[in-house]
Amino acid sequence: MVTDIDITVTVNRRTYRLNVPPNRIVADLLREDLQLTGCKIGCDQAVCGACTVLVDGLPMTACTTFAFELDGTAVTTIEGLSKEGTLHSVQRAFLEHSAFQCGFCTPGMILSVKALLDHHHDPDEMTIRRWLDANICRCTAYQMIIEAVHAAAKAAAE
Amino acid sequence: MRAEAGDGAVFMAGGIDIVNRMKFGEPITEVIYLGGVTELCAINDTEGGLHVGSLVTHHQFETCALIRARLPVLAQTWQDVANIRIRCKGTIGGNIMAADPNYDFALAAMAAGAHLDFLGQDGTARRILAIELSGRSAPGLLTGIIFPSADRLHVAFDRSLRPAITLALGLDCPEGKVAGGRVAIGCAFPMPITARLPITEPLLPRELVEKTAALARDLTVLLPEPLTNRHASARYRRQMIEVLLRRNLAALVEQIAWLQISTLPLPSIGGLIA
Repeated sequence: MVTDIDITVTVNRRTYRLNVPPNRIVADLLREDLQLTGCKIGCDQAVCGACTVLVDGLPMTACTTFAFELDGTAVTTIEGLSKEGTLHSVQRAFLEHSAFQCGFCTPGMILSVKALLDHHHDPDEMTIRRWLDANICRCTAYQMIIEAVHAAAKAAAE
Repeated sequence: MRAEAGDGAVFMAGGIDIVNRMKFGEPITEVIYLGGVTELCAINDTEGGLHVGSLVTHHQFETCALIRARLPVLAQTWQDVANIRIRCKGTIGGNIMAADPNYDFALAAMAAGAHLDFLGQDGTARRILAIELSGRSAPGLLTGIIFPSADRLHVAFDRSLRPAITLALGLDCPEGKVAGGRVAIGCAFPMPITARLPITEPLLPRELVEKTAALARDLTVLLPEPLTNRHASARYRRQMIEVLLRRNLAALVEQIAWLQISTLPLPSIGGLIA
């Protein structure tokens, strides 16, 4: 017998108690139920990185994660990265280095970079490429993105 | 629980593979979520070898100090497997049980001569060799992977020709001689496949160096017909399996020989000067 599942999840520092169908996907939960449309759906197969969100600080694909798996976790979406109207240092670095064009990949890209810098405070280029190698940017802004990551790391260190 | 759930039920670890299979229409009716079973998330050194819980994620595996010390080639390789998001969520147990020829962990387990621990529906534990696993039909829930002692095992993993071919190689070297080995091949057949190297007697590394080309040729001939698809033809795959096997075998054997030389006691320099 398939029944809906009660979960408690913190999204962008706000706690929700939700009742979700067992086959509800996180991307749909965020976009449709919580109106957090910064989580984009691109490939829908865990490949392109557009749907990346942070779950307990680690990057996850919202398109291949069931909502019930979020029970007891803390989720950060792009909407939760800035605080009191001030952009996060990674957002600022992307803006200053023109590290996007159409912007579709940008939320996933920025959240991946946030997780990267949380784990590696001063990453070399190989580490950056390794962490971002599956965040696909169709506008080919990769070089500026890498420059933005270096700048964000430097800003965080200062 | 699995027995009660029926044919459409599956165990779910990281879940990435299952969600994708459901999206492609596979009739999965019930999911038995294993996420809360913390006992299966550990990596431990045991008397029988290195025990890796089936719910260990790829990221845990690649960053674990014990894995880096004992299986450095696999730890290094796993930094490039899939992508960081999949490595953070996907588990090695799920990777094996998906039986997808493009996935990597079954190859590592097969080549290393690892054992797989299962918990049967009647609660009994069962241990099998990874090379005995066939597709998704398993004798229960996979609970762990046991790698043999690293001091006698040497492993190579070549992903340079993905998505056409992935090749893993494991050599057993007790007492300085190569006594046997296994090759596991992914991407080239409908399922990951493995074969034992035709080494009939223990050989010194320098003896084996001379035989690598013949071993690679003899083994490749015995393989079934590889796939032909958009990535490569069967003929190309067979040819390149032989090439990759020969190269990796030669490199691994030379590495073993070098390690043996570098661990020999140095001659007394004072004696030489006198």
